[in-house]
Amino acid sequence: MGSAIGGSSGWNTSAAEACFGTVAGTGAEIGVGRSAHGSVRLRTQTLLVGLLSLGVPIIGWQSIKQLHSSLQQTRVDAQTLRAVNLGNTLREAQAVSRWLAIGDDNPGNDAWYAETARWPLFVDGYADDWQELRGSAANHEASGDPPISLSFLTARRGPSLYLFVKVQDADVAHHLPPLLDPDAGENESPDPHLLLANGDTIELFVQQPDGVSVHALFSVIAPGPVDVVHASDTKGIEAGSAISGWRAAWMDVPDGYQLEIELPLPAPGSRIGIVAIDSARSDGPPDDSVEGAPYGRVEWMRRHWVGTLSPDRMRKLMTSDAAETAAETAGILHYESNALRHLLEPWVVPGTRARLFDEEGRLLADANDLYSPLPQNESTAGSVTANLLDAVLLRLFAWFAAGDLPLYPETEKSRQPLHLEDDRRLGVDELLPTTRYVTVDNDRLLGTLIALDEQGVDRLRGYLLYESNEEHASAVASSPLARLFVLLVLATLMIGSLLFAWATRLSLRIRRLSLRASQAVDRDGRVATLVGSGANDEIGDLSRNLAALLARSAAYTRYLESLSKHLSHELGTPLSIVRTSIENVDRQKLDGETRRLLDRASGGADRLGGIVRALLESARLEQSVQHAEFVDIPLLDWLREAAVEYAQVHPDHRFRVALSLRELDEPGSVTTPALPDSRARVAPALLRQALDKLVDNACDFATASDIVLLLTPGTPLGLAVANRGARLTAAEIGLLFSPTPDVTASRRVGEPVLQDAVHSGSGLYLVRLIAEAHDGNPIAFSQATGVAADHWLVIGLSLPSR
Amino acid sequence: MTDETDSRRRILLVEDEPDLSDNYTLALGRAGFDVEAQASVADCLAAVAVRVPDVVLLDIGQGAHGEAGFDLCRSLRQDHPKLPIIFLSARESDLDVVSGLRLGADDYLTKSVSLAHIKRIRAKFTAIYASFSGIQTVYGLGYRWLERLEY
Repeated sequence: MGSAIGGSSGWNTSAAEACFGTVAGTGAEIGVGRSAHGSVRLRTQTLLVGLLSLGVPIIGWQSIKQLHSSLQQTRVDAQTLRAVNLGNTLREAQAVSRWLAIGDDNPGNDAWYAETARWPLFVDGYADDWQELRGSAANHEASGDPPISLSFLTARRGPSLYLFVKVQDADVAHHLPPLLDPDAGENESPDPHLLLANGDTIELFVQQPDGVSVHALFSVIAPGPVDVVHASDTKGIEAGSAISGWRAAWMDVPDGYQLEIELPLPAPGSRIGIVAIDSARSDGPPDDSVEGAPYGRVEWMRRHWVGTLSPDRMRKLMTSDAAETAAETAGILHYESNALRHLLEPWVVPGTRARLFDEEGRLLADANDLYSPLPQNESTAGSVTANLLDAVLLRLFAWFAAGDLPLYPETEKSRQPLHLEDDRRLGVDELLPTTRYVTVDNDRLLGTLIALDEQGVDRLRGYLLYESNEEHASAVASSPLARLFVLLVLATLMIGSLLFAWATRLSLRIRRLSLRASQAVDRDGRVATLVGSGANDEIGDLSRNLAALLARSAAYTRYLESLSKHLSHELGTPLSIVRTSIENVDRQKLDGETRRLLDRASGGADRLGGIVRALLESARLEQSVQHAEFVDIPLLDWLREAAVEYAQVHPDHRFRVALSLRELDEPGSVTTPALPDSRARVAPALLRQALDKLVDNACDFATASDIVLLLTPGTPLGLAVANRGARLTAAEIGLLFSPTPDVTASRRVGEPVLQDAVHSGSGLYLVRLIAEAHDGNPIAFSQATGVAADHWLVIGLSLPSR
Repeated sequence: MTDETDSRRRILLVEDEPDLSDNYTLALGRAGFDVEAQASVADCLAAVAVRVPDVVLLDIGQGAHGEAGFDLCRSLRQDHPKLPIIFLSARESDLDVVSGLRLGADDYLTKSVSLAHIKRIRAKFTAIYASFSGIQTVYGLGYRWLERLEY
């Protein structure tokens, strides 16, 4: 690579390096710098305004939340006060004290809690109608051969008490008749009691608080209804006599049998016990582990039992008058009290619930109006849709305002709890009796738990749980507040969204206007017209003002573009006056000094005429560039055809096409099996005009006959004409593509290229115009040939690829 | 034709610029032409009405009216179809040339031409009269174009 010459304008060298490889010299890109914006963008400002606007509803929201908290605290206080008053009332009620004292003698024994059945129970020996009950069965097991176990459920409905007993026994015996000795003496008959129960039996003992006791025997010969009889002789009642009002049904199952019993509901606090007795014959007296008795002359009846009370204990209790004896061993019957519920009901309004538990947490009364609808009136009446909307709004409000709440498994849809959980009983707090929580069904409740102690005695007797449904219209005094809040939130979101959308639209409009304004002036300085916006706001005004400004600027640019043409026209007449005046002077009558001055004036007029013609030609060329038509052509083929035509026009020169700088001195040194893709989108007429000028220039100043049409495929494409000649100086290259040739400079340097300034200057300015019309650049540099003072002068243009 | 023959030719010069008009009148007079200079279209039409010149040397731009020369050419051509008309203008664009010729002008000279080329103007006279007299009818316009390109 020879020495390259960078022009004073710089772009010649840089473009040449891009097309032809490294060319030494200076280069500088001409571009419009984009200044950084330090100020806050309008979009950001609008966003800040939007956020600040959102601050107002946030403050409103905080106010509503505060108001809601106040209302909630008021409701908490009111409910606490109501619950405390109810508790005081209950403490003073004798019935309550009596019920709460029932378990004093037998704390912790909740096996005999009779759950209130919501459906009728049919005494048929099957367990299907017991499935809905929530209590768990009490289980008792006994070892033996075979082992037996007993489990039972207790329920109450109306005036009856129900028991469902299940006994697991591998060997069920309904009837074992004794083998009597034909020669037996008077005292050798079987025990009458054994004759009464000579199979597997169940015995139930019930002792009312007033001391009246019943010892019932359930025994059948075959599964089915059971004739309930007295199991013991007492107070004139003979064992085996029927017990009126009692019913039972026996049903055998694969692993034993089950018995369903109905009896008149004993008073709460009654002592009660049950036992299942397994009977079998034995050849001898049993050991100590089982109970046995002689059964006939040669056999023994071996019996062993499982249950809450032994058969013998039951018999003894029947014969004893001391109720305290039973209290030590028998269980205590508990169940919900209608009387206590009636005490609670006046305190329960729609949306509330009051429950009374004993010391052990057993449910004694439940007045539940938690989900009852409000009585319709003008203030609460509404359509289903409105109520649904209220519910949705309230849920939303609760979601935002309430936060996390403890979860309790109490729900309307699941089984009613029969006991107060131990953790809640242990956590009862006199200072903060009212808490808020949520059920598994997402019902938000406000509950007040109060410990009931005995009046005058510091002894815990029970608990009162008073609850209100926060989602119940009557319980939620803040429902309108919740609606207001949610509407505020929705309105805020909507306003915020609208504000953001508006800000975005504003930003887009400004950005679009900015983009159009930035594209209004192309790199040649031509100003495009801008259609003003029809909007009646400030941006519309700005758009219209900008459009008007651009229109004026475009007009002025057009004026400047045509200035050279007008100037040349306007200068033509005075120039002609000067020239014709000088030429009309009779030089023969002038002395030498005057002729010399006249020659100078004539020379100046000639130079001025050259400049005027150059300006005029430049104006014409710019017009033709603006109206050029661009098509996609293969440049290599196009260039080869041009070379043939140039050879015909310039027979004194040899034209050839080269694809690299190496081929300037070594034709054919570069062999390309496949021709490079030289397609480009160009204006062929313009390009041919530029090539004509370059070829004319090369032919005029070539010191050898070789003229090379150079095409370097790639990005960008390079298209140039090379000829041998003197090395170009930087000053000369700077003037090569100038629109107005500096004739003074040319005369100063005296180089051949600029001797005819009009020809070279305006012609190569055409090359620059055409290069820029193709978004390319003019290029010019010198390449040494190896012969002293002989260079390849490469002048052309770079073109972007397709 | 001889210079004497040409010198008897009468040229009507229409030029609104007095200095330029005087210079052309002086130069053409020295060259042997009888020059009558007029500064406006009306004066030109009046002069032609009095006496038809041999050639009209017509400036396109007349004062503020930049196209007045074309209008005058059209008017003269209607009244005097064989009157030789040569445009003289500072305009050099091809459009002006074509417009002038389509209006019936016989040739087109730019003002930038030197008076040294007056001899060529005389040659144009010769060519124009030759074409009107049928000597160079075939080559008329093409000849003038070729001649103009010599500048």
